[in-house]
Amino acid sequence: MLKKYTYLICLIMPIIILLGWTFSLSSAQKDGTEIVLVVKGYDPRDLLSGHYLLLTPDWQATDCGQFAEGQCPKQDFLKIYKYYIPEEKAELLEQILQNSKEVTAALVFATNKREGYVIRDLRLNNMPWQQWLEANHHEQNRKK
Amino acid sequence: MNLEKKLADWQKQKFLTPKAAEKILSYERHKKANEFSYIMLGLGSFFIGVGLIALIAANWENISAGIKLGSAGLLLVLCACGIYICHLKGKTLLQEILLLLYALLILATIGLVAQIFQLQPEGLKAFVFWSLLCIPLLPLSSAQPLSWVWIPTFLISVCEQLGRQTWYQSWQNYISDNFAAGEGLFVLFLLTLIYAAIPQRLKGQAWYKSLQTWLIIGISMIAIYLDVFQGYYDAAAEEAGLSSAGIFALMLIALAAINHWQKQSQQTALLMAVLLLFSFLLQQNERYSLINELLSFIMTLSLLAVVLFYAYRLAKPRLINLAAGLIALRVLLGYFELFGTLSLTGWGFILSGFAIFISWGIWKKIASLSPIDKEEKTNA
Repeated sequence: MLKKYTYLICLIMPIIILLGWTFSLSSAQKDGTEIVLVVKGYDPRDLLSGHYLLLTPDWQATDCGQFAEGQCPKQDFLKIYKYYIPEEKAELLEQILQNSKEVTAALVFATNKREGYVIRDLRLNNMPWQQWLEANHHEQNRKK
Repeated sequence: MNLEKKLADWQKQKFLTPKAAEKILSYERHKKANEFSYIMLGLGSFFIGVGLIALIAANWENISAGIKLGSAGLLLVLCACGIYICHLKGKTLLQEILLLLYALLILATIGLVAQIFQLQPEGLKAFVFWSLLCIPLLPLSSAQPLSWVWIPTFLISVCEQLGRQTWYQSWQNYISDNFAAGEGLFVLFLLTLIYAAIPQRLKGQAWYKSLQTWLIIGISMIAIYLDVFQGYYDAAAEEAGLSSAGIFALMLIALAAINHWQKQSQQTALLMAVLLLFSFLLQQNERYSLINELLSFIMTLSLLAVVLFYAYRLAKPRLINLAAGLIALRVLLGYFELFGTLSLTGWGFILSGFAIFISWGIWKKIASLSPIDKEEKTNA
């Protein structure tokens, strides 16, 4: 039979670790140095996988000057990124990325030594995707 | 027959006085009324719970990340408080249910954090993290379900994550090279070593019993794999798995030594020795050749014989019946494999009957020499 305090410590330990992990991710996302990686749809015909957009880095369009020594560290990044999008906006965003050549998508990372590269945002034409969608969607509606 | 009729019958037989019968009846009616209120309370809570989940799901996109994380944290804290109160009040069943719910909530929170911070999935990494977080919960549980789920989740996810490392891939190739089920045997060996090294005072714990169950499942799975698929034969192999055999032999010696040091039976060491020996032998011959069919047949019977021997020594009649039943089943399959036709199988059965009688005679002779039997006879 475990003692009361040992029992309590065992019980709350997962909560403490989860809390620490969340704060660590949150601070890494806020404080890290910003890196912008231009991305395109992994499969142009089908960008969606459930609620996720499948994106792949476009190294030719990415500014390698933002990295140390001016070289793109391709090995530090994944070949496919999954970006969570709410269901109601996912299809619209997929259509926009598929059909419009004027829209450039970029994943913004925050980087620090502890957490590595943490995704901060998805930007469309240098705007957070929610803002871009709101602005352009409203414009489209007005034109109609 | 309902309770009233039973009670009337027992009164007629003079097993019960009318007063006692009345008391039993009133107790049972009261219990039924309580059951009804539990069902109604349970149903009500279930509908409220499902409704709340539906409401949250419908508005999920509109809830901010902070509120989502805060709610997950609050649920975890409430669940932990519930477990602690149940522990203090000695409500074991509710405590176990809440512990399972708590473990599930931890997994859900990992998923939520991963979604909010757009963490990229890396195979079963989330399950490794979950397993590590749940380690402190294992000693809190007095029932097996949590550890029963934890053990395979931990093993599978850790092996999957290790399989992504090049050094581990080289190790996999080395240990499985010309040694049937080499990696499985290695993992099983590690488990048996841990199992053997656990101190006596911790052996009553639920997780220890789950480990025991999973060891039996693991040994059975490898035995079935070797019996049915008989490894893989590589005619060009030069070393014939000798280096892996050396490592396994050292592990077997370590296992036997720990068992001896802990003053426990050599059952696991014997089972592992049988598996090792036959795995090595099966690898030397062509798959599904007559010699391998015979080897796999003898292997399964030897494993079951070890189980039967220890079941008898530990006086576990259910295990004795199970092992004997499995032996009979394997013998039957062996006959079909070996003889093919019905008439030959018939002759085979008759011969086996005599073989079983002879084995029984030998068994009785051995059993009469065992210290347990001698003690029982002296007591009688």
